[in-house]
Amino acid sequence: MKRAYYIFYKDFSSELRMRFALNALIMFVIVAVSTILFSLANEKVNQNVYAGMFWVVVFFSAMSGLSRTFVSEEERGTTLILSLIANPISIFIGKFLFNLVLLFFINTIIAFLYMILFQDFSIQNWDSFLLAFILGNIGIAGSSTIIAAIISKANVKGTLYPVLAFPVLLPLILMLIEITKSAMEGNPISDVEAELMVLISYDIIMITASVLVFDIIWRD
Amino acid sequence: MNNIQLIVKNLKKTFNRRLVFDKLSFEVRAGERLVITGKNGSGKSTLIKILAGVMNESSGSFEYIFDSGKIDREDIYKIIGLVSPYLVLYDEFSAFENLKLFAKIRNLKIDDDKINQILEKAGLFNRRNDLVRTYSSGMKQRVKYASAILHDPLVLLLDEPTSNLDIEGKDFVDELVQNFRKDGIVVVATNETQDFKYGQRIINLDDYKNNQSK
Amino acid sequence: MKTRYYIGGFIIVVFLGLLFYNFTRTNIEYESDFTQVMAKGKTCKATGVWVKEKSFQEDVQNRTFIFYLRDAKNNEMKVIYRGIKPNNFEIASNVVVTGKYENGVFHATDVLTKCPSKYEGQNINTSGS
Repeated sequence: MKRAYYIFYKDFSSELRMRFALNALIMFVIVAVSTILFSLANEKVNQNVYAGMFWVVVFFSAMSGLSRTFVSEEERGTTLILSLIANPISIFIGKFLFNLVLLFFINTIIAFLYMILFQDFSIQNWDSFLLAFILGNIGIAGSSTIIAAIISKANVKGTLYPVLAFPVLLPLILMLIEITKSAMEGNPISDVEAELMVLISYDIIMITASVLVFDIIWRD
Repeated sequence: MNNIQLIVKNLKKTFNRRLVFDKLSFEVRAGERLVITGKNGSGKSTLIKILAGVMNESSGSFEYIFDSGKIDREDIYKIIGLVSPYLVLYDEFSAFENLKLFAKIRNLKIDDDKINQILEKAGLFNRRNDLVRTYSSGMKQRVKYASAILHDPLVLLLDEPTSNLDIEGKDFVDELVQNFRKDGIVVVATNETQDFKYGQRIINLDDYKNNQSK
Repeated sequence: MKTRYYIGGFIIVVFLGLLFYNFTRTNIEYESDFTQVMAKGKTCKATGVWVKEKSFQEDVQNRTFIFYLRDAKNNEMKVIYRGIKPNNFEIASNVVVTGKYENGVFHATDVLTKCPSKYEGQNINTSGS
């Protein structure tokens, strides 16, 4: 665990110096949110649309930013030194933690922007929204970490990521949209109990499976 | 009694259908120094990577035995130190930061003085706080040596050990290999005839091409 | 080493089952019995017929639309829809409302109208030949 933390720490301080992912992510969020803002102008839109659009922006910002974790190591050739100083499980957990922190940071910005810019995006039930937000971030970070590891070994890095990520993340995104809709309507948390259970199961499956297959992906 | 042993049995590596080497078997005991040689493309670096546990072999096996117990594949990284031209360090950090990070990630109990000491031995003390990006290739090679001996490994794998190094650097490598722990193993992959002096035994990978299978 | 895979595989299988079980629960159920709708208080799709005698109220400014639905067993239910009246509401043979029953009123988030098809009469006529 300690090793994983220092791998996280390494990535974190490297990100602070180099901004591999952060700049791209922030630019993407600004462009996406302002495009939505301008196109909607003062139009009254169904609340459900906002729930969908929120997670669409989250999904694509995850696509553009999170794959960098392994791809940048692979491109710079530092994969070798990394595998010489740590075992695969610590590497995976370290990278996962880094993606998780990055995702929380960027998604908090997105949620914040949505709340000030769109009056209709108002959460009535914070409990269920926050729960969905946390579980959703864990799920997205977990699956993007393992997908990033897979594509860093492939030849066509850029295009492969959305192709692989879409089917994996689809059930997650569907559940998240449902819960967000329900939270915006102010329904009690018991209403989305089944959806939350799906999220929890998804997160646990994703992380267990990733830990199991990661060392196979990592070597070779 | 610490007793490390490297046993390679019938090791074979192919890239897709191209054979790199086949039926490679040898044993290295504690205290032995082995030189691996062969033409360009004969698979020296491939063998080093496999022995370092970062690349999978195609068939056959290799194992490190320590105190008559086999070392797990996942733990190999703890006992080896690797220096090679294709090893790339984190160039957004300084040499000191690199070593400090490696020590932390490896969970070593090493203080800053010890790191400084290693850097001084490698002749990098004066520029230890400059980013690795600004280093010459010879200096980078020295940082690699520093990072390879940081955790006091039992096995030292050196791929083209003296590439990019000046006379002083070569002396440093000579001294390092000579003074390397007597209960450890050194494997050197090289084409430079002057590097052959490091080993007591030489294996030529060109002898392990099984051409009949083609 | 092997045990790790067994434990991991076990966890995956268990939660995969849990995931599918809950996934099927997330689908919104159709309900044609209003007593069930009222008893459950869960989000569902209620199907019924518009009670023409009680008419409807429409408030365009506040975007609310209030009407009554009746199911096959003659149970009536008041429906409040936050939105405007669907176009062919008056001629609809059947109405499907998605929402939740709360405090004596069904709060709908969506109203679907099933219209009698204009080919329907034709069908009956031609089916004999």
